[in-house]
Amino acid sequence: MITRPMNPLPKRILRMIALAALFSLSLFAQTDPSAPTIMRRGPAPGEKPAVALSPAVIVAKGQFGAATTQTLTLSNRTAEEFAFEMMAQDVVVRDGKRVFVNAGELPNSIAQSAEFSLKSGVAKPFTSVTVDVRLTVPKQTDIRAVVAIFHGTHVISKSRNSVGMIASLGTLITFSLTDNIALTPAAVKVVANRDEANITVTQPIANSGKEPVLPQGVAAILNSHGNLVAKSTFEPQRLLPGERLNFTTEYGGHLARGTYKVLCSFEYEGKELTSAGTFNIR
Amino acid sequence: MRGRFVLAIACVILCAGAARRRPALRLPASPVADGVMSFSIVAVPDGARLTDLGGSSAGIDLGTVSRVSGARSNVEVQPKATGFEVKTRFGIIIRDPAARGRTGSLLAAITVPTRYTIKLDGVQLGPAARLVASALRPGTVTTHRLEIQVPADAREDEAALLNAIQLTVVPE
Repeated sequence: MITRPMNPLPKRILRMIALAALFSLSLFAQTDPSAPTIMRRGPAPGEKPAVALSPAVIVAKGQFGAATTQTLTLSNRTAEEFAFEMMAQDVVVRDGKRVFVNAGELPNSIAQSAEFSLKSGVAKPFTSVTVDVRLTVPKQTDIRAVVAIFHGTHVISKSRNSVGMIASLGTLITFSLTDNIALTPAAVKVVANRDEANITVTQPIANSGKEPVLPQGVAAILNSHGNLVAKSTFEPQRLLPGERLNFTTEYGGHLARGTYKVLCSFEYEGKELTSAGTFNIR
Repeated sequence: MRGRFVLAIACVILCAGAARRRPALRLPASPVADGVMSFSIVAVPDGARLTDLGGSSAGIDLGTVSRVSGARSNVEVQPKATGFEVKTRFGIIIRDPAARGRTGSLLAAITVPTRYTIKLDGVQLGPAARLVASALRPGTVTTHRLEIQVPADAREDEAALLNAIQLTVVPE
């Protein structure tokens, strides 16, 4: 039998394989739910001690029945331990206001599907704890937002004369699942005060669709000749389905006496919304 | 031969690792995640003294209060037909340095069953968290009104309101 001698693999390829194997092993370590990642971190110079949560907001797009796993990191930048329990709540809009509902209380709850890699824990002083949350969107639901909360549970006060207040933080997770995206504007309101050189433009907008949107807009002020004389940006605000908010911007410059037109233009999910109004400076 | 063995082992480990991490069905687009939100409970000029209990947690020092006796400064006591009411104020400041214009909601709940009626910004608190304030802007101290209605037959030992209020900040 004739055998051919094997060509030895170059050392560079062997090194790459070894690195890949080590990386893969590190993935195993991170997916172990009983082993949260803990990182030591001291407070930055001048930083006020606080508990911080990252990310603040997660915007997910997909389809009914799909699942997502997200990693949340709680940083305890205080000298005290922060004991917590993980909980999820559905966020819906009732009578124009956001309401936070315990998991499972609403039909087709997304929060009920929440699986946390760590159900409770303690963040030691100046450390961070990471928790993975897996959420599955039911095959049919009107819910589009969930909040995953690090719910503080530590005992903080034993005084009879004081009321203890425990801090908790949540990450807002929104889901876009259909193409039913629609905003409905109401009439633009302008409050112009020439003496104070201040013009406030308010554009009420309602989310009349089924999906959360984050409109970004600008107000343009045109004089009677149609020339642009001022421009001001609206602060972006997230609108959940059924929610109605006032988008307000202020222009601090002086405008001469006269009649003006204000054009409000918003962009959201590749769409545009425009509305107009007029006002006088006397 | 040895090189091929190492290659085979590495492939097995990589495949197993990938299989464990990926759910069967995922949201097709990568979710966008951003921001770091934190908040602190702070004293305000017209509010009660706060006991710093470690960063985000705090105690409101109401002093010794009763239907007839006074309390600490900026703690108001009003006799009522059914007992008395204690009122004061405190502040909240949220931070989210990465996000422009992002605001926060403040939710509150009572963590310990009590016969006292506790209101925050006029919202009566219960065991389920309720929205008490919205559109809190990062970097700005917002003042919140705390009212505690104490029943006339309340015993002194009921006054220990351990961890009475849970404050939760959620980005909007």
